[in-house]
Amino acid sequence: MMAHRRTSLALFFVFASAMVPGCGPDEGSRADVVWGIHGRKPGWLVKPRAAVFDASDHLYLVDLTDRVQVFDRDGQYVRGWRMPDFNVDGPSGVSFDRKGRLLVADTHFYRVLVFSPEGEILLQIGDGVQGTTPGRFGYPCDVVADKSGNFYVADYGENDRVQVFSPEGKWLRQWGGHGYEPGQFVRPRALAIDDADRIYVADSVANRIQVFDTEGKLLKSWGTRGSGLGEMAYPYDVAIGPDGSVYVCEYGNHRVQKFRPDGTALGVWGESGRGPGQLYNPWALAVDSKGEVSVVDSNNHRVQRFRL
Amino acid sequence: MTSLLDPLTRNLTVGRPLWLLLLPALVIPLVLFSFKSLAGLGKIRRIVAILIRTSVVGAIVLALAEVSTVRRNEKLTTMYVIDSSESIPQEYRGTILSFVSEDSKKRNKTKDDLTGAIVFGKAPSVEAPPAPTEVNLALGIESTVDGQYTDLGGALKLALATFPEDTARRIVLLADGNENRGNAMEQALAAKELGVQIDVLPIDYFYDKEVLVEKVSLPPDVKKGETVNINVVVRASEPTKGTLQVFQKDSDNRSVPAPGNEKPVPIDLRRGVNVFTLKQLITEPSFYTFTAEFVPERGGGDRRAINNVATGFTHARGTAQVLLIEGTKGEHAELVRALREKKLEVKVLVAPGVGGGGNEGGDILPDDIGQLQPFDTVILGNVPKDSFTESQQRLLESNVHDMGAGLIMLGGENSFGAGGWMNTPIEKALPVDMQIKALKVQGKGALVQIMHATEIPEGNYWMKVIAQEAIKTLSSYDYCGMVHWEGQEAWLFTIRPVGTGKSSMLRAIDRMTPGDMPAFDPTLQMALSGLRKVQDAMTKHIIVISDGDPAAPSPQVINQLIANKITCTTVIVAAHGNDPGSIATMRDIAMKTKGRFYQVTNPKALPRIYQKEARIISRPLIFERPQPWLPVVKYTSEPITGLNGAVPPISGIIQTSPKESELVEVPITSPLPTEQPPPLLAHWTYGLGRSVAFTSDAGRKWSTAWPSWDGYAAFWSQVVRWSMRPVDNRDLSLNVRREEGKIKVVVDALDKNSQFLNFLQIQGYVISPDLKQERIDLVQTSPGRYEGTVENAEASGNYFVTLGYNGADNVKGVVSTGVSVPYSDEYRELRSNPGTLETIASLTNGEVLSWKRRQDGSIDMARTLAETKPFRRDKFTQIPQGLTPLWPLLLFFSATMFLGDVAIRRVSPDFGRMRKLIKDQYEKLRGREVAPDVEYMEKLKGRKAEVTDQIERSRAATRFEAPSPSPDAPTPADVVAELMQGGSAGGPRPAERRPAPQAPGLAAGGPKPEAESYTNRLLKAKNKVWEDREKDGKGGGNA
Repeated sequence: MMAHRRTSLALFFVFASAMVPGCGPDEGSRADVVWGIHGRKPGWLVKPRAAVFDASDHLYLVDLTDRVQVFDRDGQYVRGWRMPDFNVDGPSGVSFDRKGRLLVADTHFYRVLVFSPEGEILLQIGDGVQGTTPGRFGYPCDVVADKSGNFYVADYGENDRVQVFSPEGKWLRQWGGHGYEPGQFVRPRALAIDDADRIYVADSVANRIQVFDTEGKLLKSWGTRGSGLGEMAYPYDVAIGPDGSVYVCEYGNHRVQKFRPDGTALGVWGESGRGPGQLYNPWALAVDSKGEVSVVDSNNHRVQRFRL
Repeated sequence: MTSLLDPLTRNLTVGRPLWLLLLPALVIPLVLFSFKSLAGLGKIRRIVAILIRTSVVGAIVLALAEVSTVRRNEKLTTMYVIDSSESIPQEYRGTILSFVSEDSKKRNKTKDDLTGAIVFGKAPSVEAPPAPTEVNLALGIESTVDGQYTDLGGALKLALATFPEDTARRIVLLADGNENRGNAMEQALAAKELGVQIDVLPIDYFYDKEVLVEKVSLPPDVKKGETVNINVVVRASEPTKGTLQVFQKDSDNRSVPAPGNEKPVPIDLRRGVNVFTLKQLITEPSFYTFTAEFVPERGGGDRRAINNVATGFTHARGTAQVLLIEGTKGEHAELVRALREKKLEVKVLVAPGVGGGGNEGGDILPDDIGQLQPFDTVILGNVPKDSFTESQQRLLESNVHDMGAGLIMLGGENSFGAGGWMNTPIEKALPVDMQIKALKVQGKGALVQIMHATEIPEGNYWMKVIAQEAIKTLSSYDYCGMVHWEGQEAWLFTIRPVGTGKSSMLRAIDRMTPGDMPAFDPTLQMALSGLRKVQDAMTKHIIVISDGDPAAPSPQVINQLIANKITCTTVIVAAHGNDPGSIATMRDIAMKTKGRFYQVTNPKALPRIYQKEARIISRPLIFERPQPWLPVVKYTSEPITGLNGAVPPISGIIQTSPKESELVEVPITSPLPTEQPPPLLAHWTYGLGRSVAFTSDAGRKWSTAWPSWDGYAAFWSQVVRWSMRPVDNRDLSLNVRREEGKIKVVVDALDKNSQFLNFLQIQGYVISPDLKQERIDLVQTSPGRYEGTVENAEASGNYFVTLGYNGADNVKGVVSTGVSVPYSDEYRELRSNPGTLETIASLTNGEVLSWKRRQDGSIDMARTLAETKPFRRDKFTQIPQGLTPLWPLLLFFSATMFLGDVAIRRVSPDFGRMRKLIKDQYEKLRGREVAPDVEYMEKLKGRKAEVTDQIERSRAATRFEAPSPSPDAPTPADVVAELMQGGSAGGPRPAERRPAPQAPGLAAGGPKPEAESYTNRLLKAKNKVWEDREKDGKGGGNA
């Protein structure tokens, strides 16, 4: 009888350990939820490219059809609206400020729009003209806001830089520039900001994450090109978990990698493919209040949720 | 199949009626026999039994006779077959459609009649498939009909094929009765065979005042300075008036009034054929196209304008004409001057270049055979393949092969293989191959294509097209590789020689779906490292196609490309709203690496850009030396007869190899490169024409000494003249007619002494207006006369005929002419042909309907419809019948009845008891007491007592003597059965009471005789023992 119980216990541990996701690339990744239908109907997706959770764990997604769509944590469609102008590509960056307003980097119209959660435009940053001068954008691709309400906008094009705007949208300062030197960027694809107002920049073509303070002083940097643990290929998005962990979405490696705030790699999730637990050129990710990651599996037109 | 008598005829048929004779033969004896043998059954049961037996036998006989039921389908399908060819007058068309829509409403809805419609012109198509609804053509005809011809037979055939199988069928044909394709009568006969009636409603018209310009007749070949007669043949159905004007096509292909015919000439037309002649002086050697147009006078009654115009053409030969197409303007000025000096007319065209929007600059190149007709030779002077479209290349080839013209390709940096001409129709026509068999010294080219997803419409398709084009343009010894984004940067195929890897490359390209790459750096680095490994490539080139969005390459990568002499061409397509950043990035790469930058606005320009770029790496085919060298004249062939001694030196050549054919002659070669001395001048006969390859240039860069050479003009004029289309032999008269959609060619051949030329081999080609060529072989039909026919010459336009002939005594040459088909035969019909339609109707027992007209001549639709009965069932209507065989049912019936026969004899129902039982049940239902069946119970009890008595008796009998049980003794089961049959049914029958043999050990009742006798024996023995003891006891007591 005792022997039997011991066997059951052992089996339980075997299964339990198999169920823990993200223990390494070789063990296969398992998604808790996979959702999304390819199409243009409300609630369907066409190559979604950016996502963010609000305080009540609603997921705001933007895709190539210039729509902002709101889903609950499990992918049930709640509401949505169109961007004011349409283009072949949609916006490519979204985030929330501390007042609960939705910030959208309207990439191909060279501006940042601030929406109420219901879709009403509250503020526009940038005059909508492409440019390299302070306050104008090449292609603005992500935006975050700090505690005091200042906006940080990453843009690429002729300039690869981060520009800072006041809560009223007035240009304050900028840093960066095109290049591989520390503090420079080659296509800064995404931004994230933690509780201490440290700004994480996904320096995508340079294959690294750079961390700055609000004045643009480089605090930390990690990452080189590769597919091993701690290495990355085209980090297209970066997000901070409730516990301060840093999650990086790798476009080129088709995976999500988790780091400690100091840059130590903890694990990866995902591999190339079209099945559940597999990703095809993912562009973005978002972390909910429970610490689960929803990754935007762009070329598979879907979202997968998992815990890493 | 024989029908049974009415009224069964409607429903039953008998397949093998002879078997029915068995019925009386079997049934009568059966009844007689049974009547006697079943006498014991009682009257009613006997009759029933006999009836059942008779039915068993009867059913089997009927099954053998193959009795079947007949299912008659009362449905009728009527197909309306509507002539929609051009000959149907316009005013009839709406009327016809509304007639069909209204007429089809007459269908019998209760019988579910079906209607459908077929429209036809050149080919029929189903406008409405047969369906149980009306045909609604109120919105017009949806099918696309080519109205240039009428194929009445084809339409009837399709209608016959479209009918559903199991309904009666009728066609209502609305046509004018004229046909110029197919055979309607054949199909009418087929309809008759199938029992399909064809009602006809002839569309009658008569163009009583119609005028047709039948043709413009010209001599096929005229001379410069000659006055030709342009004969315009006009046919009029009534005497009428109008004006006639003749137009001529100018050099820009525009129609202008012919000289002397600036104003329309008033003419009076007689009934029948009228011929008008216009004299025209031919001033220039050229190709002449004349169009005659008749304009009827106002109120003249001519209703159709399309048949008032006809075209004819002729060709005036003067001094021989040459067309020179060059890549750069003025590049061949010396050559042109030399040829003109030798009385050759030269027309020079400059080929357009290729840019992002398509053609850039240059002249419009000929794109139909008529435009090439005036020229006896075409010279391609250092012009690349990408300046020509595919069809222009085919045209040039066909001009040599089928039309007998000459083709000369001159060398230069953009010519032969270096001009991308490999694997083209032009290469086929030339005496040299662009590829060299074994290239050792000169090195090879290597190309890497970098593909990035572009958001142009059908982007993926264009990616594949350009990738394939580039590979096709490369020669087999060049290297090619391809990098794209498939989730990450990857080689679609690594760098490898095109010769061995071509098929795998093309396969890989078919599967390619390039994705959105974030940066140029990694792909350029991959291309760079790949190209570095190719040691023997002289030219290394990269082509990048992108929307310019990826991050710009780093200066290090660009510097490495420059250091490795790798050029990089960039092609930007659909940049983000023409984003200056993207354009700058792409332009920058190209400029720094000395490649070219293309901003593509028209995707159709892409393939030619890729051809041009791929050709860049074919430069190794160019062999140049700063020090000129002397070519070697190996022998004097026909084109260079009289060339004494040497030719001047050259300093460059494009390497080619002569075709392996006995026809190829290479009189002059270049001693360099020594490994494989290439031809300098090669020529051969290709099809009906001749072509020449001269692989150095014509005097500018590589042959600078040539223009000052004494023999320059003589050399080139001789070569050009040799290649030219041979002058027509006037002794051969070529006559081309077009009749009934066929081109008929007749040649009358006489020699100079007016003697018939016999046993000539004459063959050639007819080129149709859509440039398709049809081979024609002429057969001699009488002395000096040869004939041939080309089918399917139905399109209107110009047909060119070129024939080559060969005979004894070196009689050979080329003759050519043409014929113009101004308009479709449909417009030649002046009246309808109701006769054909009436024949079709009478053949198929259909009706001839007619349009009812009001007094003013307009059609009275209501009265017309009142007389049509498209859904009638008359004596000719064949109602289809479906047969269902009945034998399975009959056999089942007889098997069931057989059981009934057994039952009626073995089972005797007790009707009294049944009645009682029903009554009792009824009483029970009503809640009343049911009196016990005293009589029955008494009977049962009495019987039971009787049986018990019997058993007791039997026991008593076996107590001392065990008798074997009587076989006649009733078992309890027998008793019950007997009771069930009723006591009145007579005594138990011995046979029925006999117990069935039982398997040992399984029987529930009945003591076994052996066991019984054994017991009895035991009992007996026991009794004996007791008796003995009793005796002994009595005795022992005494002892």
